Amino acid sequence: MNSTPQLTKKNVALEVRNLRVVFHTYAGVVKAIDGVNLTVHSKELLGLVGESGSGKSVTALAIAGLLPENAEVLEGEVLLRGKDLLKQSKKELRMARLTDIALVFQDPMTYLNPVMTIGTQITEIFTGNLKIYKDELIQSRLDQIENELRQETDPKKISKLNEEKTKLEIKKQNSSGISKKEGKRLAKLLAIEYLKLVKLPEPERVFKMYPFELSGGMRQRAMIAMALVRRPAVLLADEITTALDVTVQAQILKLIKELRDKVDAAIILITHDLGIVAETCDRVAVMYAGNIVEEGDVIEIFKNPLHPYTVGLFGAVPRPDIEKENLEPVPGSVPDLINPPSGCRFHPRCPKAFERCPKSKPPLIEYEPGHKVACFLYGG
Amino acid sequence: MGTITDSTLGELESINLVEARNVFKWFPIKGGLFGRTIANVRAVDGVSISIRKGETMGLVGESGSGKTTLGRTIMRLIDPTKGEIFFDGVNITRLSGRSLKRYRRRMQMVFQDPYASLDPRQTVRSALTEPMKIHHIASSKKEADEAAAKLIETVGLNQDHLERFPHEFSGGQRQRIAIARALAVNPEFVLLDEPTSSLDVSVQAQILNLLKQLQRRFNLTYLFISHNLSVIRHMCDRVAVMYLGRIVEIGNMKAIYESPKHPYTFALLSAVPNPDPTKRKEHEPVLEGEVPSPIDIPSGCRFRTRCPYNTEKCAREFPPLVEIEPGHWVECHYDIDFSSARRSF
Repeated sequence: MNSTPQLTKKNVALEVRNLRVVFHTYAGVVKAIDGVNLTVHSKELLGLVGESGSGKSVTALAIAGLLPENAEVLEGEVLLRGKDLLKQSKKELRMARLTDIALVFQDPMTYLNPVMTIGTQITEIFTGNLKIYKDELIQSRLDQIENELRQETDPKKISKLNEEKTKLEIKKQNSSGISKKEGKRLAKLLAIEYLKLVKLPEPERVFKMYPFELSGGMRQRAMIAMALVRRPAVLLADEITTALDVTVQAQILKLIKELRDKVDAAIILITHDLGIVAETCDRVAVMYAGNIVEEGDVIEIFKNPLHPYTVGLFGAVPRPDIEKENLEPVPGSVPDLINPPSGCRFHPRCPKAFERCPKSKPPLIEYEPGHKVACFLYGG
Repeated sequence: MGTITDSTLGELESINLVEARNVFKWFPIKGGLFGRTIANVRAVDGVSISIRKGETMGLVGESGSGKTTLGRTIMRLIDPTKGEIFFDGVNITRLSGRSLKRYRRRMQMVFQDPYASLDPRQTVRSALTEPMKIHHIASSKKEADEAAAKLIETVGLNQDHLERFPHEFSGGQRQRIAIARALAVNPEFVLLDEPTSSLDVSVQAQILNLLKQLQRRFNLTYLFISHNLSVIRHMCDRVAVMYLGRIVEIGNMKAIYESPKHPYTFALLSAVPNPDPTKRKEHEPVLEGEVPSPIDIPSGCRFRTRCPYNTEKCAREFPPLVEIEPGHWVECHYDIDFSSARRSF
């Protein structure tokens, strides 16, 4: 079992504070996110679970600054490296997406460019932004050379590598940029390195392939490579295995777990599947109708769920390992967020609702160390 | 209607409601100058399955394994390339027109996507009474309306809903309507093709419970197609595992989940994430790669390209179908002991 990273303040990668987002539609104003607070640490795998319409994807889009035109952020902060992303200009946001935040979506075919090879799509990130990535490209090649030198025995190749090394070191000192051609060469080498990291077979060949030539699982691996190659502080993975078969899903989840240990990113895994959370995540936040209703350590929450909605979800899901005589569904259905229920948004479906619930909204409080819940049954 | 002369078929009638015998469904790929068949998509490639009266048979497999094609072939929605289909002891493979319509009433279907399977311009009342008219279930409009009112309450909605259109309902409610429509003609057999895959988990539980309750009440026989192994475990008495157009293992639910015998079944079960985080192990996903194309199926055992136990024999010879325990059939050359292999649950 993976040990949970220390939840200390020092390695916070991203913090979302009191985020509220609405959508303006013809039918009315959809109150999609209603005061979300979330903290992720680097090298942490946070699961964001909820049913459709719970606001998990909108939270991700808001973090990445990719909300559609009709969305409006009423209030809140998204803090990354001490800066509030919501207050930044379009240009600065673009920069943040280029260097700090990466997204992987459910359907890779929609997000990959069908007329560009995988290789071009990855290297484009660098060749289009050579000024930003100059140092990184050179450094990663230097690291590669070091590695190769350690394994190489052929003296001819060693001298060649050393030659390249000195050249690169000069360029590194030099304040002027690198040529396009050199940038392209370095970017290709780095891209192939990352294709290897996501365990794509024959990375040199995949580099030259078009998205349609890859299977679903391979495309998702390519998307992950494309996301990681920028060394993001935060990786948002939105339902990345939903379109895949279970055997392929298992491969991708295994990859995500391995990557968590290899890269520095905080990974937010958005899913509707509690099994995936149990299998991969360190911490979990449960969302319902635009609110986080419970948050904490995965083992703790699965053992001792507090919020009636979380309890309801566990009762409703059939399990692969245990026979349940009867499922206990959560009665009713997800509320319409144009006219959300007053107070606690779960109260019309809640078996334990009492007179206080429709009147005011329960805050997310720390009930036990590392276990937060937003429900009046537990104070607040 | 054809009378049954064969005595074995008479025997079948009492046990099996639905039976497919050595069914093939190949979809030709036309090409070249004269539109000749240049290859076949072998969606269903020699499947035999029998479903007993009153049971729920589960059909699991990954996408492209042929589950839906097999289901539709059994329903006679598409014609098999080869093989025979029996319903209540009668060979319905070559029935058509009026004689087939009699059987159509007795076998109904619920589809995955309730947004696509309901006519957006038809009220719920019309969706429920139209099949009654077609199959002469109700003698008058009044009788049909009464039946529809009863039916809508049976599936957990109320009579006010009858005048509404599908867009006014949520996904779960739509699926209830689709179930009501299937039951409108008093079928004996219902094919459930991923009936909860597009629903949220809290709603999925409602529909699964409803399906179980309806089965008891109307003595229904289900063929339940799903890729979700937890749902299959919850719903089914027996389970058939499909891979690339063939059933590789079939048996009682307990036997399949507790002592799988085919390496593919084992791999499938190992791939399901365990919902208990304390039991999380660093277990390796057993399977590498993805399902091969059904156009170019591997020789011998079709699973061998992904099988961790494959030998030279697997490429050479087609694996025999072996009855390991009574009612538990496996299509594999070897009897592999998985007890030491790591599993997610």
